Amino acid sequence: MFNDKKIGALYVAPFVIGFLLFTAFPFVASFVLSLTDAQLQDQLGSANFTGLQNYTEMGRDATFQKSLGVTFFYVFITVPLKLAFALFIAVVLNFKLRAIGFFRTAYYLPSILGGSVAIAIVWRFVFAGDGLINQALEMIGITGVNWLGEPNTAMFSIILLRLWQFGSAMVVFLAGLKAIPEDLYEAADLDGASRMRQFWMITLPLLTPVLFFNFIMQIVQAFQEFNGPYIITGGGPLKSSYLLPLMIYEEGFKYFNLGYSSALSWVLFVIIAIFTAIAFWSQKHWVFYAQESDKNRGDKK
Amino acid sequence: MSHTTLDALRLHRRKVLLGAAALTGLSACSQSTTSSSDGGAITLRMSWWGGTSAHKATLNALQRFEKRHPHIRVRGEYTGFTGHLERLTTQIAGETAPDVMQINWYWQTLFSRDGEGFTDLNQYKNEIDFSQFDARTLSMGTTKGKLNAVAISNAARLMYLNKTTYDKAGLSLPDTWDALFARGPQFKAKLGDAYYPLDGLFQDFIALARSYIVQKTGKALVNSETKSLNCTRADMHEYAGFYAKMIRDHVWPSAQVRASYGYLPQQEMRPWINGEFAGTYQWNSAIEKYTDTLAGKQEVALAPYPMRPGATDAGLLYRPSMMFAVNAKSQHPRESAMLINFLLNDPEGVRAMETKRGVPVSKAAQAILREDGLIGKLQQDSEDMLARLPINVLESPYFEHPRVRDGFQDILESFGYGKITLEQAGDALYDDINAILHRVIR
Repeated sequence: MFNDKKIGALYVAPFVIGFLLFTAFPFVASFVLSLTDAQLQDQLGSANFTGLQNYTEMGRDATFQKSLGVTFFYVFITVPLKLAFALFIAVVLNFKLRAIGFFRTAYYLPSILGGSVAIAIVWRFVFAGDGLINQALEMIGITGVNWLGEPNTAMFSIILLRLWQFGSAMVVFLAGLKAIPEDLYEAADLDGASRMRQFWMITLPLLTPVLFFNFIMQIVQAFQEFNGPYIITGGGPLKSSYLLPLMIYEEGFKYFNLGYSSALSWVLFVIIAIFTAIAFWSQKHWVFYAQESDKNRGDKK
Repeated sequence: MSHTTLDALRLHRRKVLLGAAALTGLSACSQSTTSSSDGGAITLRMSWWGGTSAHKATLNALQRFEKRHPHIRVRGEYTGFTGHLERLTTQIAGETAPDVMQINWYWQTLFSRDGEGFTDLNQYKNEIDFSQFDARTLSMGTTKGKLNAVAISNAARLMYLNKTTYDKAGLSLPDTWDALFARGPQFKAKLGDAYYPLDGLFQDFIALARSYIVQKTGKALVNSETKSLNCTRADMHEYAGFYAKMIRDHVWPSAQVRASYGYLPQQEMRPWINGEFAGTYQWNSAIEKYTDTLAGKQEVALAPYPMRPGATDAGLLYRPSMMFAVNAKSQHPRESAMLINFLLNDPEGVRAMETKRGVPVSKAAQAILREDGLIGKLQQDSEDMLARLPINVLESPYFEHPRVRDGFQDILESFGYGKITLEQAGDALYDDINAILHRVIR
């Protein structure tokens, strides 16, 4: 009755339908919408085609430029810091210590809780003027800081929320570390290389494929951060934490500018695409694939 | 064209059609139109937002309505306020909106600019007893001659102060603007830096300052016809000065102090809960949400409304707080109208709904609830005050447009953080808000 082909098609159908309906269609539709002046509350048919007007509008929109600057700042600070921190913890957790399983779990926990709404709310209380951090500071005689009330520190608290979720990147690093052959270190030990030197000459080069993967993932995620600013600061004060995803949301669902909102999301998409492309292009200069070099060596023989 | 290719094409087309059929099937499922009727029974859909107590009261009322009209079933679709408008907007755009909808007054400008967005309830005078509503209330649900929505309750922003804190400071509730200004330094001297006589979000302040200016001009602040502010540049400088004075004199917490608590509704902020921020400029229909969160035994009282010398209007934002409207595409507009009448005018419906949506506008409903002793003191005080105060100016709904409100906020915030001078703030309030109004009023 059913041949293999049909059954196969049946199996993938839920994904294909879901993908077409909830990813491909909105993807295309948002681009079409971005060329119109569509308003959320109107019938879609009443929208006018306005060409690239939404895109040129961004050149005049001070809020967009502010938001873009804030977003770049956020990404450029969080991604390197988070990668460095995750790598550091992964290296530490790669030592052969007692109860290491417990520590690995403990450090991974924040990532399970993730950037969820509940955690963002906790964060808001922790950093509030009368929150946990300031209470602790006051206990040791330091005047509290207005974390959420000043533009610089408000951004800082949102950055910290992402840094705190270093677990998933850490686990990937840990897997990468495990894959590095022990004998390389033994040989280095015999040659008298210090631990530091071993890290720079062996660990890091062999870890670059994993670093590359993590880098891409973190860039993509950081550009899309929404929960933190939406729940903790509302994008303020003075739009100092008004990341682009929050602006896209507000344009669409607060001001009802579906067209402009769609255009903004396409700009965000293109920015992420450009950064990913740069990363892929640059990888031949810094990413080292062990198998590849083995093969090269084999060829030379 | 050979037969084989033709066949292939035909097959291809059949596949496409099948696919299309499947898709329309899907969308038909999600659409389920506005209502359905099977075997003579009618099913209405009604949506609203509110808190748990409002949900319970409404569901109770719907049950009683079903008992009264056994051939009608009502399906309730209820949520909190957050996200409700987004949801309703999507439903209206997708033509899947419920038959009866609870809406905000200004949503009429979103969904029914031409009066055609909702059913014209004038057609159902036999079902709804409109004599229970005054002309002003009905006019605020009317667009281009079409009665689009009936008010459930009216609301205005009034000043509610934490009497417990005021007593602690040994101070009376202010009854003039000058007395209010004086409370700032007095609070600071008697209770310390953490205490303020009045507080609120930017949106609350923006409304308070509007009242202050409207009491001077005697006109609405926004003119929808000219798409501009209905006051002079000097008035907007006074508006900015009002903010500067309130902050400088410790009457209202500064932007920095407020932001230090993060992005939070006022009633969830610790200083409100424990009485340090001792007042709110709030909708009378929502005040219970605020008194509910106070810690321990604290009393909130309605303050006398401050009036500028010679003011002929209190400058209140006074309008329906919630309204019922019927979907323009409803299959059962008559039954929907019956349901609205039951909830707003019928003794049984009114008793079930109580004052969960504020004190009802309907005279019949008010009489019933008063008789039953269901109207609280704060609510009764507010109703009495609204009946007493001069309220003739009708503000344009565009004053509450999110873009306009955020425009005010951005300017006041920039001034609060010292990014612009008072002079610049006054100019920006005039120029920028005018520009925004010109853009949003279509």
